[in-house]
Amino acid sequence: MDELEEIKVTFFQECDELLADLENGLLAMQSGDSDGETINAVFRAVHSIKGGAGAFGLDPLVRFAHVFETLLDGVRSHKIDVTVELVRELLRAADVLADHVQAARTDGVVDEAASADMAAVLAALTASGGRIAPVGGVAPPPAPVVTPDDEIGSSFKPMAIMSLANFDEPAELPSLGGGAWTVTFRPKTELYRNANDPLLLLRELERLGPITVAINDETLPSLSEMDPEAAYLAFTVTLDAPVTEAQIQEVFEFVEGDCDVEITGGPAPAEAPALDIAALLAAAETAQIEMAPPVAEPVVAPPVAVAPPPVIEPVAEPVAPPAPASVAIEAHPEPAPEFTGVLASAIKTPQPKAPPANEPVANAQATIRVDPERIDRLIDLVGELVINQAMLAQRVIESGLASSSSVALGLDELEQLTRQIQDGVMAIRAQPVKSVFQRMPRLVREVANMTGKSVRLVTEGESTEVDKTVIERLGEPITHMLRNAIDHGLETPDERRAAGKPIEGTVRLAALHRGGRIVIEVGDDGRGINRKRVYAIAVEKELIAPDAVLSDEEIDNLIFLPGFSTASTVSDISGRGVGMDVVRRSVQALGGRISISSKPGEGSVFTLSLPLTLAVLDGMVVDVAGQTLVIPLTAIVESLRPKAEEVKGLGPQGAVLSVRDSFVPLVDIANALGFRSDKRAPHEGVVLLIEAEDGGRAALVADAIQGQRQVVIKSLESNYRQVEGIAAATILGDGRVALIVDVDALVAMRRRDNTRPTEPTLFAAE
Amino acid sequence: MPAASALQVLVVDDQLTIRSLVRNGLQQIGVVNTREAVDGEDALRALITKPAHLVISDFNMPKLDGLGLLRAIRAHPPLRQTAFIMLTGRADKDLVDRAAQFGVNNYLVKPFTVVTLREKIEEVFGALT
Repeated sequence: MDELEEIKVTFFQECDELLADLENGLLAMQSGDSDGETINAVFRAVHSIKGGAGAFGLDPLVRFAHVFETLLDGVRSHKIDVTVELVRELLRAADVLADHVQAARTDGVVDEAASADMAAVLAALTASGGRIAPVGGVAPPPAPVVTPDDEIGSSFKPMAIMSLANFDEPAELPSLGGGAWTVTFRPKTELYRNANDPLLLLRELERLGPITVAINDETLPSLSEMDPEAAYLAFTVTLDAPVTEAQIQEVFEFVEGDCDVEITGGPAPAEAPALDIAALLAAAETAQIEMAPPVAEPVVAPPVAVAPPPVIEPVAEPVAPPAPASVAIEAHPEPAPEFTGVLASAIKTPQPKAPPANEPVANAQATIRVDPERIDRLIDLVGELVINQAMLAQRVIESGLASSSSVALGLDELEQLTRQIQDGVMAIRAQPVKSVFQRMPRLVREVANMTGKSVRLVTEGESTEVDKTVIERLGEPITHMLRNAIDHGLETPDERRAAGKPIEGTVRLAALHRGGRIVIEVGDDGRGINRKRVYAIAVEKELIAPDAVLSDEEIDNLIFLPGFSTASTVSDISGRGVGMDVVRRSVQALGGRISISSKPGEGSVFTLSLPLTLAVLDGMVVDVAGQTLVIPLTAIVESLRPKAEEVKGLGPQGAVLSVRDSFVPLVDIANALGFRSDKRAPHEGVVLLIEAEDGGRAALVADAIQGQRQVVIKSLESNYRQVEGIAAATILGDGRVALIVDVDALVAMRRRDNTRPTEPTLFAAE
Repeated sequence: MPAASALQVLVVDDQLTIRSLVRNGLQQIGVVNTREAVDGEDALRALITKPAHLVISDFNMPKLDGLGLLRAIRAHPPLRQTAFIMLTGRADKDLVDRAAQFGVNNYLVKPFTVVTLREKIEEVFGALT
């Protein structure tokens, strides 16, 4: 990627932060916090987006940002009052600005009409001083006022500087009177044993400045008791030099631990130059009068107040310019001036300090950017490693080695390490859910506006991390649940008032980790599910039998059935005839589960739980006609061994299983996938009761259950081709490929064609 | 005629994008000794620790803006000789006028080209080699 492209990527990342700043600032203004810094931060966010966009020639974005910025400039300079209506428009404008940024990022287009309308509103607000006026008839926003560069330049003359100061040598600083250091240095016996000599250290100290040394022989024993190889002496060194404590410590760096060193004294504040910015600025306020340019200095002559600056015209050949090569050695600048006058109090004795290397100052982010493909590759390789390790473990067991043998123990350690590597690698791709959550305030605003409800969004656990692949697919279900919560869950302001609730409804969006999964909760403090109504609708739509006896929980979960919609009119908000069944489907496609709990009059909570990654899957490993298959654990409700009398034939091919007073269609996996053409009595095998995405249940017939296992998902499509009824593949510990069953497709297939294939059509590869 | 490679520059902007663009531009004209600061206060701290020949600074920044930084530099004798180029948006004529009163050496209008960047620096220091 070329460097400018990289900066552009940075720009869009920065835009996300700026848009979040903008929104946060506007929300603060909405809740009445309109202090200068908040407004300025809002202004700056738009200004910065415009500035960066200009550099990359993103004209539509620049144009909209300009109109927006102009209005905010009016707000900032108190020409326009902050009103509730104004902030509402500003929030809308922020959304349009976000659309522009998104369009620029993806080379897409914005809704031109909406953008132009919004720009017209902003321009009208600017023109009217903040009064909300009907948009109709307002002139289109004026093109950005462009002051030609020359126009600014006409009254401005650059100020030239003749020579470059030399900063490569640390400037000599005035002696810091009374700042002598006292270094007490007591070598231990180890110091001598390690062939070090205190004299060398003392000489080293002397290089920092003049020293006086006193020997402390108090601990010296009498000759008869003395161990000739032990250390008894201590040295007290007085060093009168403007050095830092760190510089002194450096001298003792290589004998650390071999001696006791105590450093005391030194100049009063023994820290890096502390700068009292406020004092410095106050000084700047008053400094103008004494800002006469230093005489005989061919340098910047800061002009005084209104007088035109004493200009030194730019010269192509400055008089006696320092030759480049000599820059480093000549022109030793005069010793740094002592701090006098008003500034003396502002600058706290800077310590002489070797100039640090050219290190990026501040904000140097301790992060690196990596091509996601590399991480994907790494995750793939770790998957292989996990499989390989499992294979190795199986071989060891097969070879009959005792579990206490060194090989088996080593393998245990390998397994642990492999797990840790897997966790570590997955953590690289983990991202906080914040990126999804921060899109939601806008959604809530829009839905609240459309429904005429007053809504407050509370988010929790934004920093909860989950795999990037999951993050990307979280947005849709959360959007749907939030819409549903506001549209169906919350009452209208009138209803809330009547019920004695605060008029503003609260919607809570939270993320947390629970049992190796991520849990997303969307709750509202609305009316709760009207179970009577849900039940009646379900009966009316023939989703349940008219005399069905259901628990409260079961009734609540009826809303996930396909085609169920309680809205009297199909609203534009919660979906066009699609309801919570869509959410459930997309959640289950991610290996997740969704449920709802509700209390009448108090509200409802949707709970969505997802695996932390899509790279591994918890599966039930089963045998089917000599094949090993994996059934996703999330789909399985229970496994059972049916009795012969519980199986009832239904038509020529079909059969149902009686499970606790309800009938569930039986699907023989071996038949469905074409492993076997003859029918096998279900009671000879095991039955896995599964729940499909559409909420329908089925009983899958397998020969035997091997056990529950976590498997690494391998795409069948990218390695072979798509196969109906199969979701993906995995590699088992013994190296064989096992297919992961797509439960829903299997059930759908069975439902669709009742003619079973006469020839086996599919075998798992050996 | 100063050597571009000898020039030590502090780039001040609260936006990483702009800092990167300025540094990138400087690099293209041979100015490699560059440091960054994210606002006026940060810049002052950086300059006190280690001076620079030239400060290229944005105007609108949190904590201490470009104008405040300029004034502080001009009011502080050890830093007074530092050249100062103010980054500005197109319409900021007032700002340039105010900056001129406080002794700004030059201004640079965003968005800028590498050629303009070089010109603006050379107007202050003479032709760069």
